[in-house]
Amino acid sequence: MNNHTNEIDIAVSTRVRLARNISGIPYPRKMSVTQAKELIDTVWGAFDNSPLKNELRKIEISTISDLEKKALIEKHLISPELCASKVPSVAIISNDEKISVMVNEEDHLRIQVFSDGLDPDSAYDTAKKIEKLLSEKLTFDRDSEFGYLTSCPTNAGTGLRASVMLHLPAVSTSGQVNPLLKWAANLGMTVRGLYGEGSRASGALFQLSNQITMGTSEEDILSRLNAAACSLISEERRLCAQLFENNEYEMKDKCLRSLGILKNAYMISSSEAMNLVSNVCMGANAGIIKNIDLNALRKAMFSSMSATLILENENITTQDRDVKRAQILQNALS
Amino acid sequence: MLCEKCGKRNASVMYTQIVNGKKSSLNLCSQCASGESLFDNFGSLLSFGTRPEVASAVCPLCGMTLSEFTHKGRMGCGKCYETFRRQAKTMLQKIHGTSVHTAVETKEEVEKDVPKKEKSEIEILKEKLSEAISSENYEEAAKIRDEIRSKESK
Repeated sequence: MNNHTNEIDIAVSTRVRLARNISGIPYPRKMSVTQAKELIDTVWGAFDNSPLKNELRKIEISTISDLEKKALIEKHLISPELCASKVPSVAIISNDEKISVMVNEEDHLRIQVFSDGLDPDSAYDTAKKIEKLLSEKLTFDRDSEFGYLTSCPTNAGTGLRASVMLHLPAVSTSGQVNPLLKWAANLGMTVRGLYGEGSRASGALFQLSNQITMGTSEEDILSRLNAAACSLISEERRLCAQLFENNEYEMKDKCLRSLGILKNAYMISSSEAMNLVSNVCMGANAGIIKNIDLNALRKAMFSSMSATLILENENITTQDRDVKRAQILQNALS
Repeated sequence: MLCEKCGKRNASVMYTQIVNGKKSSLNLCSQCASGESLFDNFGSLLSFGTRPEVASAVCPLCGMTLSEFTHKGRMGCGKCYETFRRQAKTMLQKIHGTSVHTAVETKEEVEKDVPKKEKSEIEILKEKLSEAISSENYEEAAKIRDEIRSKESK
């Protein structure tokens, strides 16, 4: 993919999540084990006649190890809440890991769809198709006044949470994070760190998402998110250009040095990887670094996160993990 | 006489209701009468006489109590939104700046949504119920209430 398609040099990925509940059944916190199992069977069965079925796998949370859970959480495919569910819970995940339907999380259904770069519309279209497919077998809880009903009233109305992960190194370096939080709040948006609520923004990665889900249409939520993300992206570009203009040599050296380390280092820790990839992306954005597939590089960074690596390489030591990570990143650059 | 709701202040207002010829009344203080009017929502009208304490309201589907809901801020099921409708409205208003969802739905979705149609019929009856109550026509109100009950149990 071209680095400019869907603003991929700054927008890492888009996620759309639809929360839905089934009429007449208590929500997962209050439902019985039997009800939970029945719901899982109905949801999984709803995919039977769909061509999607061949691309999906059902993961029963109670049957996987803590490490496997951690790896899926690192990839945002499941949530810590799904793992903490008191009743049986599953995640139905597509092979390309673009779709994840969580059953019996906080709500009965959490339909999640991911897309590369800034692309809320296509992610929403896919989520809506899955919702439609499931609605043929299930009746969703909906109130004529409140819209779709959810366990937490913060999701009621549309049940739609759309978010974009943005890589904003220049905004972070320039100390513009706090004004950014205020600006987003004024637009009905929230800015959080990489792993959602309360998490810190590591590697200058931020999640921008809609705060309000009620009294507004799905299209409006998506277009507002798109507009807010675009303003942040242009602000990042402006500040980045300013940084390079004011500290040209230092900035060029920082970006190229980071690329050098990524290309040649024998061991790289996960936090170092995040910083180096962040610098390389900034260099690419400023036109200093060319011919690099940023999407592939970022994917390599995420797939070389600790839990994912340990999972794929049993009994791996911390040092071996860092060696493996360096190799993965070099492959992405070659 | 002490207020039969809060049990703390002196009662200064008497609420009277006649359902199916049965008369029941409650002595309330002015604060309880204005803040938690027994006739301001459907749920409390049904529970009148048998469950005067609104705070002890329990969701018939999942068993969630009002205090549990206000403590956790989470609903136990879709029925909770009906059981604790007034509190839910206040909460939604605080979170979203509105408690009315106005998203435009496609015709296909509306036609397909059978339970919603049923609900809107109940909504109309509820409006009639409030009208009957405000005009103090309690016999009519009781009839409407029974009709709503039978529709809801379907």
